[in-house]
Amino acid sequence: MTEISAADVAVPVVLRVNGDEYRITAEPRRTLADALRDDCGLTGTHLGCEHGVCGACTVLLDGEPVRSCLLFAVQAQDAGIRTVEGLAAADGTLHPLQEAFWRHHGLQCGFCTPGFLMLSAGMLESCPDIGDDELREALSSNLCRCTGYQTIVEAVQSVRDAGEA
Amino acid sequence: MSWVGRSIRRVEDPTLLCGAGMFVGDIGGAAAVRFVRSPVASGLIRAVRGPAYTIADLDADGVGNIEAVLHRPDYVRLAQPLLARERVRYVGEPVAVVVGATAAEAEDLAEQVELDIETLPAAVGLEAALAPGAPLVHPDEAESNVMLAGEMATPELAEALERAHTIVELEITSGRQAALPLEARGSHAVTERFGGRTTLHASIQAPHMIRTVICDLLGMPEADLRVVAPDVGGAFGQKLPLAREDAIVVWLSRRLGRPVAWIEDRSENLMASWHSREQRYRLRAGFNAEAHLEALQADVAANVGAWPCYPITWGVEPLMALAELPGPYTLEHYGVRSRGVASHTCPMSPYRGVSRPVITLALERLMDIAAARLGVDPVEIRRRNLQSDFPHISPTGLRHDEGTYREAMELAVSHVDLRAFRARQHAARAAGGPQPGIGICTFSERTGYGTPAFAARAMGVTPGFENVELSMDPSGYVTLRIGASPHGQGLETALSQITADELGTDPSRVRVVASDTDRTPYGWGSFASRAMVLAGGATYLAAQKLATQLGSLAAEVLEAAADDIVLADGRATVVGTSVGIEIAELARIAHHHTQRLPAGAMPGLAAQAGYDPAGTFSNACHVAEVEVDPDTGGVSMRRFVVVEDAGRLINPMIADGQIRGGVAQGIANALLEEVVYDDDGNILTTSLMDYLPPTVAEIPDIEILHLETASDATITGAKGLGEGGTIGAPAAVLNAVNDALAHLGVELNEMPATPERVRAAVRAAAGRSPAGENDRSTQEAPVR
Amino acid sequence: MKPARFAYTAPDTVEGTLDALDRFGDEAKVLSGGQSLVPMMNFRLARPEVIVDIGRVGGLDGMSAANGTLTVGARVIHARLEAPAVIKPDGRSESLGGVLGSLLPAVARYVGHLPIRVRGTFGGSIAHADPAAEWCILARTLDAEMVALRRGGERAIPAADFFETVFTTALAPEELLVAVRLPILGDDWRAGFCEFSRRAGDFAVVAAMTAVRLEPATGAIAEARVGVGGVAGVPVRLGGAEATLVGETPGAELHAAAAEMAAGEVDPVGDLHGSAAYRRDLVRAMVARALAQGAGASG
Repeated sequence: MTEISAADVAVPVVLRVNGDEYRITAEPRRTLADALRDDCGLTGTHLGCEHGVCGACTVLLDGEPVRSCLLFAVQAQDAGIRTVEGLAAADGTLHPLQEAFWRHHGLQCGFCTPGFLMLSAGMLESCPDIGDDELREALSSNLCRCTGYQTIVEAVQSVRDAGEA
Repeated sequence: MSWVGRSIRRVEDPTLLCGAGMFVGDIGGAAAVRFVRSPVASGLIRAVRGPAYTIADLDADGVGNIEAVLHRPDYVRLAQPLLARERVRYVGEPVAVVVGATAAEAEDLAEQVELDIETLPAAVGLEAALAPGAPLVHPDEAESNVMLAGEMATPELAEALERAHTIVELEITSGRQAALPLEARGSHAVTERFGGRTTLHASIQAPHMIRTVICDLLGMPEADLRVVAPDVGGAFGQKLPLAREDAIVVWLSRRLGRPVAWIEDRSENLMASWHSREQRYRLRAGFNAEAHLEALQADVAANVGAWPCYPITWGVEPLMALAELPGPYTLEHYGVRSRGVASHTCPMSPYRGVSRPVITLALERLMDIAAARLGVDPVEIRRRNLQSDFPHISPTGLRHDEGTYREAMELAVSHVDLRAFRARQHAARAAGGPQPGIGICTFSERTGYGTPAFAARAMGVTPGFENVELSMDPSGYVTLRIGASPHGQGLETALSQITADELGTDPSRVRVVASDTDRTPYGWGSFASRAMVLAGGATYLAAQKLATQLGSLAAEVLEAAADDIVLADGRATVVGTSVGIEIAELARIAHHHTQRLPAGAMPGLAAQAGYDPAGTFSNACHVAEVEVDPDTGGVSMRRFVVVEDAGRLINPMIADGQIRGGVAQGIANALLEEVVYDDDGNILTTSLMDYLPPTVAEIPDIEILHLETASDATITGAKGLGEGGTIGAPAAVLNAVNDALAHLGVELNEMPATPERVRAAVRAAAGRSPAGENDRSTQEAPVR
Repeated sequence: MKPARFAYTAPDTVEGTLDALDRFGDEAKVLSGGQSLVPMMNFRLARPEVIVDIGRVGGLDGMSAANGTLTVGARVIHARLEAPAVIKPDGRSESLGGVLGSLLPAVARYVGHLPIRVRGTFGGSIAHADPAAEWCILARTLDAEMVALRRGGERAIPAADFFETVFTTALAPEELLVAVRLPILGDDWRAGFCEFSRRAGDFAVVAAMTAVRLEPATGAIAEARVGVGGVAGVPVRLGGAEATLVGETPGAELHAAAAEMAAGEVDPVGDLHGSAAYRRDLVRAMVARALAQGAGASG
């Protein structure tokens, strides 16, 4: 019989995030987003809706952009997770997408930005030559309330065009 | 070289790009607060059972009521408790509060709280609340639901309407909308064990004002409360008023002696933060034979919800409509009645543009309809009516400073090539299928509101001035402390550009400190497109004072006349010579070798300044191009052009960002977003699958052209532009939708123009016309 | 918006899953991609006592074609149907061709957004049974068969019986949906899909799928299927529209007639996203366009 984790007992979970291992305990109901923010202290992953529409909580799970509010931490055991905190190099050099968002004014309040960065990183890593229409279609996954999107699109296009991602 | 006018990268960005921003939900280390909210729109509270605090606990501690006041005879003044007392007035009204170890546990606890409420009939929509015999929202304080009724008329209005060549009557309605910052609201309070001082971090726009009101409510000295707005994930007006919840969080932290935090979830935010825009305008307009608007009579009503907001009150929408409806036109005779109508719905707060998106929709629909009626082109009718002599004094006494209303429109129209568009439209009408349409909107954006503008409203609290404190430390770096409270606009960057120019230094040597009552001078915060004008003006004045101090010191050190000192590129130089000194060295001297200061000079380098102008008007022309599918009512945006005149641009990149973001919200207001209640007052739009902010797929690229008219109304020459995008876009879009379907006889004057409403308008037009649309309903066109 | 408490188990075999479902019955809910279930749990609209996570179960993510039938494993993610490929008996992977091979990607691009499509699963969508979900409309229109396992038994449930009402299927609490069988549709079929939604990636307000089989000799329609979503608690087939098409030759006039029939025979219930009358209008437009799209695809 497969092991059952009781509802009100926090179970040990190992999360591998940005190459680091976090040994946490979490109730089964704890979402990956909450675990990243509250248990790992990685608060760059934001919560904007908690029902999978806004995309502010987007992280990469084994290279794919996913909504971390729609995953339970226990499901992410064994997976490789990347968050916005892992984008810049260890010496602080910004990732090309971060540079491009800065250069193109692809952010204002910055709340949606981590989600857009991770969405774009996942998209460009799996599809470096993505066409303009597909790129826009993919970026329609997330919501931004400040920029009107144009500068986000331009930032991501510039990274694609430079082949930098 | 001037820093002002250059699109330098924002100093705010690196932190945010690395996920290192500190939003209120990121602070952590606090117990979770959860509010138990009313499930019914109207009712009497019989009992609250369970592990919760209620109004009785607040009363026992002597916590006061919120009083949002206008000193007007037609204003109903109320005392609003922080939690519902005896009666609930809207779905989502906070009735009780629980504290749990985690957000999930607090939610579990909240579910255990039982609200025993006797449901009463509710007045939900505007018409329902105005109807005779409507259930009253505040039956003990008012005899109807009209909470505010402003009226004015110029002396000869009736005669002017009487002698008009053509009368156009029009009804415009706007659905209820939500500002929807991507970060919902939230607050986090910690009370020190010794000394009892409390620090509140909250996602807000005006920390000083919030400190004042919370201290008033809790009966504590302001010195004992520090309020900080950390990184704020968008606000758009929704985070300007006092949130009852924030005051309760402070109370709980002091009562419990432990850190507590309330992080609003999206569903609460849509249901119970603040709404806006639910308005109806009835216009009766008289034009002369030359299509000049001579007289306008308006009846405006706004559904302001169940309670006023502090400190703006429930005059926010109705009184702005009353004062600013004449818009950019040279109308002489004007009369208006504007009412704020309470209902059993979520209260209203300012949202980007406040009344002006609907004012502009009303006026711009009026212009297009009148143009068609009078056989004049939509461009021509505006040409004949727009202001061109300045200053222009409106019928309500507003002074419009120098602007480019006509020039902006001419530039926009030539940029879009209207003639080519009409040719394309002609072909599309012959072919059937999706129909292109184009819409123009010209408008003014009143910005830079200072004390005089707010004082005219007779508010119990009169916002206005901004103060700054500027100092240079011994390393030559500059710290600018501001009372404004930016939250994503890029104000820090823009102010560093102004400062750098005046001090001859580099923006990278300027640090802006904001949003912390312990570290900044009293100020009113960031709202109403005023921060660039007010904080910018104060910064400019303070920087000039500091430059004078540097100049005097340099003159002393260099043995030159102070008037001959030039500050540039980090050096103070004697004009026309190479004799000079590093500004950083002057800064050392000013602190560490004060014996070298001119006689009577204060040690150190510091200056403060305040700025409080009367206000100014930006102007713009928007042109929207849409494609409308008559079969589905679907509208897709094809093109959007903005010609903006906001005076002198401090950082054009940031200005463009404000315009684009504003236009995106305006398009969403025009087509997508609507808060919907059922007849019983249950809110149906509490998720982002039901309330529909746009994605990139719904927003086109936005082309922006600038005019930069120097204005004497502000000291920097800069006017505000934070709201213009949202003000103009709905009218441009609705005019375009109407233009696309004009050949079918469609007239649609309601926003949002949802596909269902567009489709209903097509059907209604077909019903009126024998050459209806049923014979052409099956084009084989792609959906998108 | 945090879920209520639940117990959790993540078996790694089908047998283990069936044991868990057998043990917990209707207290249990199967978690596949979670892209529909978890939002409902976050709103506390769904409050399962036990979550049976099938994310670690092997063997449910295959796609294979045989005897004119495509079998799609329940855990195949939406993204894989954007470029459907099947494993041949010799182990090689090959793009799925034919009419179904181009229909599936055309439909898949309407399913949610990229992050939804890489997590959410085909079987999860079918079992969730949202009446406006693209895969449910496809399953109903093409008369798919849902393969359900329980301890000691297997059955195939026809789509007509599978969808019972909103979010409710014929699956018993102890049953697990393991695969869906779809007809591959020969070269004599023409299929189209059209959807109207408010924003990119939203659930359809109304969507229509049509598939017609043509007589090779005459070009007349020998068999017709018209399915729509967004008009009832389940995706529905429109017999009147289908009858209008059969025996006739495709063309704008016929499509209009079938669309008119379709609009007349649905009985939608209005809600926030569209009144009954509006949904009827959308049925007319979507059916006409799906038919036109199918006819266009034939060249």
